[in-house]
Amino acid sequence: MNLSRREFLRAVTLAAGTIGLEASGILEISKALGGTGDPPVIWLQGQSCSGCSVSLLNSIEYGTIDTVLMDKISLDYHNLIMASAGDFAVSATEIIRPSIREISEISGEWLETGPELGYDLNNDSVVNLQDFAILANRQYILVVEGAIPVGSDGAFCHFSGQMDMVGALNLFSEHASHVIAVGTCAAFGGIPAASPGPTGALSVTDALEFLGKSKSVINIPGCPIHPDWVIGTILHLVTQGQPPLLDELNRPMQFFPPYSIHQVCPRVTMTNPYAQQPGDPGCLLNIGCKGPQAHADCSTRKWNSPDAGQPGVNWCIGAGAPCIGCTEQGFPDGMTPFHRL
Amino acid sequence: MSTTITIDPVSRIEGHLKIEVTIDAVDGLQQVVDAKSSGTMFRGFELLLQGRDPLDAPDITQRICGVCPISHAVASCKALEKAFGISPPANARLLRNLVLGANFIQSHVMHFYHLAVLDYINTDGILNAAPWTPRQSAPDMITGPIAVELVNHYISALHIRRKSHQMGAIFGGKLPSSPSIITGGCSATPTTENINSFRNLLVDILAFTKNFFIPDVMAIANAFPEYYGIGHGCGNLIAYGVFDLEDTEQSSKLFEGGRMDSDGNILTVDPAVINEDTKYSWYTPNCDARNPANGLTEVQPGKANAYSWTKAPRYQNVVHEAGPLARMKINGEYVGGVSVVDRLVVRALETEKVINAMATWLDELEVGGPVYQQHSIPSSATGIGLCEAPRGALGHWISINNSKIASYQVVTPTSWNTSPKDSLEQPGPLEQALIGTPVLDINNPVEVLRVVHSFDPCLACSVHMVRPDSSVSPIRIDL
Ligand code: SF4
Ligand code: SF4
Repeated sequence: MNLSRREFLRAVTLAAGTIGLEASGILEISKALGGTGDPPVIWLQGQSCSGCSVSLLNSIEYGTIDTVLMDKISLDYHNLIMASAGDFAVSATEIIRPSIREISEISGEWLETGPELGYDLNNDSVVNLQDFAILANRQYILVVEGAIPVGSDGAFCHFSGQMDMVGALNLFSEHASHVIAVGTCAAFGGIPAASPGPTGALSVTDALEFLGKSKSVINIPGCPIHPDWVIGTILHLVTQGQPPLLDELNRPMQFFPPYSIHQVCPRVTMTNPYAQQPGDPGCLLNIGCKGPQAHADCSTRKWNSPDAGQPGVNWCIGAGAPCIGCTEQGFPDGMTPFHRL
Repeated sequence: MSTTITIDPVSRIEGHLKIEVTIDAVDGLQQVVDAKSSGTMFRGFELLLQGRDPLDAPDITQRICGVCPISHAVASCKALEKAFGISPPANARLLRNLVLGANFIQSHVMHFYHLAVLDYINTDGILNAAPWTPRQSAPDMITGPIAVELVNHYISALHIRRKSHQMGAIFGGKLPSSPSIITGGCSATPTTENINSFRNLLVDILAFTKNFFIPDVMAIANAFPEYYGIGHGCGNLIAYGVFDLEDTEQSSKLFEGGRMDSDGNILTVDPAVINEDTKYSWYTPNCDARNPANGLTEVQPGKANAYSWTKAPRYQNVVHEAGPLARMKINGEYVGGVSVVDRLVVRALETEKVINAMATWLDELEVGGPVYQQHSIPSSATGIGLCEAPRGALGHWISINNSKIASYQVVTPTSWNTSPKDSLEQPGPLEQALIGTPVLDINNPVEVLRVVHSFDPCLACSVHMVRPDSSVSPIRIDL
């Protein structure tokens, strides 16, 4: 059996309780194994409700979240779950050093850029997240959850210290190998950008344009996202080195097909009679369903799956609720009123 | 000599929070002598809701917070149903309780294992990769086999919180954000099959709660007994009550609403005497001291002395703490004190109580029974929806004009708990709780994080309203 370093470490950690291995013993093993080697992901939250992050924790099809974090990616920055706080988190030195080491080994760039910038591999020199962004040139994936408010000098959303989210996007997008906008807020502006747009909230694509940058963005809308859509896309990037096939709104077609939810809805033929009110079995068109305008694989993938390979336990229309078109550019303004009496 | 340190951003919470503490020696002990809690993000939900169809409110307000969307959905539906003068049928009440219960469980489990516990255990050598490194550490942290065991339970708990969402989705449609909770009732219908699937998951989750969650919390409580004396805060507690047990507006509840003063007297709650103070918040003086029923939100970034986007709700000008500790103490379910450890312990105890109640609600569901009460939108009406989020008292205030939303105000538990100072110069509950907290190493203020995390703050909830101020300068491009 071949185990990756992370798989091995995890097996040791899980077994440690039963075999009585001291934590310090595990430390030695992990040191001997060196850096993680998993692709770094930096996850920033702008104007979000954290629903996308919470939904991410429900990951199952591409591995439960513990295996994703331990074996598949190195989530170097994520405010909801990372251990550290404050400047310490932002400087994130410990995690990033091994990643930088590997990146420099892979790219051969270290020897050129390292000494020049005053970093020394053999020393415990400080490498903070911002330097990392520069050093790790095109080697990390930037995920942005939430909209980016550019109104009022950026005062509506703070990142850290003196930096607002507009600044954080500018900094971290610069050297990201890929930028993924997670959730409808990041992908299209979503609820924060809804009329009357009180905070100047922009999608990631529009915020990058506002910053004068041309950088392509993979959009994974959903309010919130389905975890498979995000993990599936990240793993595609990691294994293939390039984005999956995207539709004209830059959504991965694997998850956002060209046909509408309505076209493949199990209720599409249930029109005699249509549902007259919530709880009725028929097609929900007359009580407000936006399935004809929405493109996502909800009807087959469904939500909150119990196990890999199994569809989810339910979805909006499965629970008798109209689709509100949460994956679309027009959400919410173009989809309201959501309900019709 | 005093030192001021800033933790920005505070992680392992929902949303954007900055904490500034001033540390000085008092009686030879280095401790927090002043604290400021700042909410640093907002979106403008109040304004986004104005002019919309009232029936959009439950779907939109669920997006205030991805950790407690169901509490917002229920509070919003209650506000609308009050305005419409309708009561949903029994099945709808039970289904809502069940989805809300599932959300409570996932929130409490996640809070302890994934947000709080890393403040108490040294995971060096156990969790050696991002996002668990780097980390703040302290000499009093638990090490060795107990730490390893807690890390293993951290991982099991990831699965349990996922299963809680899976369970809630059976009647909710999906989680986070459940489309089935709608004005007039619930769109999902109970069947023998889905009731059984729900029950099977509930059994697993109850076993985890009894065998791991409660013992693990008690292990932390026993290892850190000094934290029974840290983070007391204002000592006044408030709850609105949650989980209706009857189908009337005055329904009894699994947790009744009420207040408890610092002498332990139980008092009533009258929403009419709640005001939101904005002296230290970035809002204009017009907004100050208003009851949410006629609340106003005009932003004033850069306002002198202000330091938060969170307003300061006060009950008759008195600072109150909301949360599971308030619910459990006011209902006589917990006789302990008010502290960091008490807050952790009640979350686990409350989880078991909610699970047991959920099992009885499953029994009460009537397969084939109605789930929805028909209604029409009045041309003008007002309503208040009071509920509880996992982290405390939540209120929605709606007023309808020309059958559209004329105004909508939300006062969340995190507004109560992380509020800044008010016009009477009273610090908010978290700020008061921080004062007096001993800090061993100012470069590693783990004690401060323990106090902050004990409140389970959820900042997306606390800061959500804004009205653009025309005097605000337009857009900066100096990046
Ligand atoms: S329920 Fe919605 S998506 Fe399904 S067939 Fe009817 S209109 Fe189309
Ligand atoms: S069914 Fe519609 S509203 Fe529901 S998650 Fe899918 S796209 Fe969003």
